[in-house]
Amino acid sequence: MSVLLDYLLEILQGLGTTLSLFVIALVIGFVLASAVAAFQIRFPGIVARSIWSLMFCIRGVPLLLILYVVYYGFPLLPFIRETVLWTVFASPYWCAIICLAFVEMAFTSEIIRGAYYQTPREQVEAARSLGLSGFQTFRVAILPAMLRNGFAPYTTEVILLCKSTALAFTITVMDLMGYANEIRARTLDIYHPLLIAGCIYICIVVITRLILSTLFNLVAVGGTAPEDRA
Amino acid sequence: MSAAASIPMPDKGPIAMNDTSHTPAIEIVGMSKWFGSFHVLEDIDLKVKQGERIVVCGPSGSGKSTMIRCINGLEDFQRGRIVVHGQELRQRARALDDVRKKVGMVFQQFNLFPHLTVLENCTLAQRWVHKVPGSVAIDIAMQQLEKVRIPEQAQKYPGQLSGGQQQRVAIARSLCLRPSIMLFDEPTSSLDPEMVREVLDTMADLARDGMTIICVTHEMGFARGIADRIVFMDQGRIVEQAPPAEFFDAPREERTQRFLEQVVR
Ligand SMILES: Nc1ncnc2c1ncn2[C@@H]1O[C@H](COP(=O)(O)OP(=O)(O)OP(=O)(O)O)[C@@H](O)[C@H]1O
Ligand SMILES: [Mg+2]
Repeated sequence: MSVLLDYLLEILQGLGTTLSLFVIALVIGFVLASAVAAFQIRFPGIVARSIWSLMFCIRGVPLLLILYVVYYGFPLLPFIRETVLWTVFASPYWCAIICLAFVEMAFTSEIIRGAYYQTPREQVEAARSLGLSGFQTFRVAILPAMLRNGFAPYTTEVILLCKSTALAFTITVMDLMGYANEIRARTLDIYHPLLIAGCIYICIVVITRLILSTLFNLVAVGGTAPEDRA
Repeated sequence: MSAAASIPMPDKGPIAMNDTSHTPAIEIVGMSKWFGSFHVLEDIDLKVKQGERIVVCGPSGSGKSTMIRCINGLEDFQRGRIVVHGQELRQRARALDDVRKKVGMVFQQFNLFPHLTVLENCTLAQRWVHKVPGSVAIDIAMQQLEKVRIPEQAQKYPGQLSGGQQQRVAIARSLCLRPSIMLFDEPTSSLDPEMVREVLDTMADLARDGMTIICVTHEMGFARGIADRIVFMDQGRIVEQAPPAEFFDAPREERTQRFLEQVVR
């Protein structure tokens, strides 16, 4: 029993890393995704289609592959190795954050765009016919509809991101998975460290969902939170 | 209530427009509109006097919605002119905003903002567009909600109301902006039969108060009761317009007669 406690305490050393990978990538990914989606909506046609194709490619490539390209491949490029960029890309931790945020951007931008185009046209027309300006219409008709439409798929996406952070250990980042894997390799006890790490991930997911639905209910009163299907 | 009444509001509708009472409320001249290559409205001419009550009817797809949506700029048009209270619709971008301040619109699907309470739905545009102070906006909103006979629902969300109640809130929401013209696009078509009456009664109240009304509806009893004139459309054209007695009892056009045979029975 005390062995398990030791495992738990050792694995928990990676909790801060996992959480910060998760939260930082989430925030950066969301900001980039908003910009990408806004750009696509604002400039439909060739611009939107090119961006969409790029995002499609990012979504189509395994995260692990992107991690390897950035972590093992970028140091070979002189303009990275010999500039300030190196301070970032020399760190496996920042490489992981950049890759996670990058992929998160590609998925979330599509969720935002989808939510935007699902806004009922009638809501926008009601706002316009009341004389509201473009921005006011966005605030009262489009944004709330986007929240209603985007909440469930975004929750799913956030949870996937949380679990994707575990891949960072493949480029030597010591997160929850990193510590669990180290115990596994050292003790040859396979189940216990991995199951403990799994339980911690589940806890993070549960808390994340709680936070998201609380936030949703704060901003979107009136309409109840749609059942998320994560 | 009294606070609302004491606030001077320019652009307040018929009262403020006494010097222009001879100008028509709405004047549509030779208006044509295409959706792509589809000619949806052909050469529409329609003049509506202030305080006049027009009912528009016609078969599905004849362009009724499109025509009234053009009047407050929800649709653009390619040819002709629309003048609302002397204000040409396409002269400048601001004109559209000015026109929308005078023209209220009520939709078939109510289109209330679901995340706002009934009261917030009614105060929002007052505060954001007309810059009315919050407490005054609430007074005006409550006044209008009383007019449509649902002041007790003010704190509820639209989803908690029946269809008929939601539609009456939508009417109140428009009235809060003191429009001088109200457009209705099939306001009772998505309501259960027992709720149709309450909405029609509300509209009849408006008509009695001298509001200029254009209403697309298939409620022929209502049309007969309150309309000054009935406009019949088919395939993007105004086929016939006449006072209700004449329209129902002695329609001139063969197309109108066929339509009436289908609708009135
Ligand atoms: N955005 C649009 N793009 C292309 N065609 C449209 C559009 N909106 C309407 N139409 C077409 O224009 C015609 C007139 O439509 P409109 O909605 O004005 O008819 P309506 O008389 O209001 O019919 P209903 O009684 O069914 O409401 C229809 O044939 C419709 O298919
Ligand atoms: Mg219609």
